[in-house]
Amino acid sequence: MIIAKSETRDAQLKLLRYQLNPHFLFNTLNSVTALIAAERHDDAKSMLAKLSAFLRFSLDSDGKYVVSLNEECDALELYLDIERVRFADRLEVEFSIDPAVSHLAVPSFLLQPLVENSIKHAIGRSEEGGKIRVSAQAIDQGIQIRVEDTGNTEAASRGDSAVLEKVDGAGVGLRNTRERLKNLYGDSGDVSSSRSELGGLQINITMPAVEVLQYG
Amino acid sequence: MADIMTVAIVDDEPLSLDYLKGIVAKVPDTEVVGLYKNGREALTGLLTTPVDVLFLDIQMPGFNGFDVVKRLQSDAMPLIVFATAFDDFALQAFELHAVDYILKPFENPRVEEALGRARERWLSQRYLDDMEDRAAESGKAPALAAMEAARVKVGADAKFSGLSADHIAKLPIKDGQQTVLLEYEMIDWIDAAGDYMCVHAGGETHILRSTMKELEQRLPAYFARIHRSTIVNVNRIERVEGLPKGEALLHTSSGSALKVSRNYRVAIQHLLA
Repeated sequence: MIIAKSETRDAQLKLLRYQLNPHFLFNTLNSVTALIAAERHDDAKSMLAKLSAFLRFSLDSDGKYVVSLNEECDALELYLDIERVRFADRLEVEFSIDPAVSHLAVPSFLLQPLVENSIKHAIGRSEEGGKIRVSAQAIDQGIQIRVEDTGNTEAASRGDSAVLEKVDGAGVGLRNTRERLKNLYGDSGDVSSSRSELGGLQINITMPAVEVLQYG
Repeated sequence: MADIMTVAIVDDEPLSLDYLKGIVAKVPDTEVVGLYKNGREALTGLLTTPVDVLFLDIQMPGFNGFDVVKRLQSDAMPLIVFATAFDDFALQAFELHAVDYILKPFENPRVEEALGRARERWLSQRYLDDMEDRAAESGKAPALAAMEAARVKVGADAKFSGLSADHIAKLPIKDGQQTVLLEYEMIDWIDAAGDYMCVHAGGETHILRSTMKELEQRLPAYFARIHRSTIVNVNRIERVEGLPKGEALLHTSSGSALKVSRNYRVAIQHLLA
């Protein structure tokens, strides 16, 4: 009975796992081709190296439930470096990770879909671009992680966070995040959304402080 | 007769914009005259610098590629080649009568092929435009009708389908499960696109399946046909600008600029008297 239950959970976790976005892959390949055409060979090589590292991380994390917050952020930085070549000065990024929590465990690719969502709905839809901020700190119950963006002006002029969540299309992504946290941590993991002081969407995640080694 | 085809490219990624410009510039008898980094800039730029072919990215901030097509007057519409990373919009693109649909990463032969298709369409359209000019000179309405029939064959104009002939003061526009009833006086202008009529009202574009003729019969007298595929609400005209070759540009209170062809100029003549 216990085994059956854990198999179900396993299947659920697999279903909720991050899937590489084809738009990202084809846009990146287009950028590399464009760099080669412009004879910016070093930039092209560097972009391919980053894409390789990002793909390797996504393959390595296959079958792993958790990675350290540090590793998760490294992968995010690879991804954002690649996107910065595409969006040029339209994309600004800020990381603010408390060293006290950076070695702790987070579900692998937990933050990736949230950051992709910000790219798509805040940066991609603003002519002037915007900013994405990822921050993490220790709280009484464990870790608090935030992903925020400057939003797009259309949504920002509209109002509260419920509307914002709907307008920004974060609905499905958030449901997946909530499911994953619930599966791994039960009631001690949670995710919510609110209006960021940056003007856009703010996703707030709380989870217990767990060492990576405890997962074996 | 100059055979140079003019091209504009719209892409919100500077690197990609530059790359596609480089490929197009190498194709003979083709000239890139416009580079735009979003839909809004493109709509403004195309008014002063019209082009024959428009390479259009789909996912862009503000007005996306489809918004750009909907907002352009079909009589002044360049041939559209959609250019995007992933093919989940292909069907929509072809509904809008795009000439082609190219995917990232772009490659030279595929871009050349798209320009080849555009050239074919461009040449046959230009032939029809010449016919229209001759018809106007001899003042023969039947020739105009024949030309419109020919245009249907090359797929450049409306294929006519049914609309209920009921005469009510509002225009019913079916949108999924609901029908919007749009008051005639709310409409700014209307243009035909493929099998559809685009009804522009209050900054929005409603799509309606109908023919130009049926719609013309239905609308009150303050609507005038100003081009082969364009009808305007004359109450919305703020300024008329003369153009070469007997054409004119109408500026509407909603901020649109619409071309009036020489053949239909008589429709707005009384406004200028």
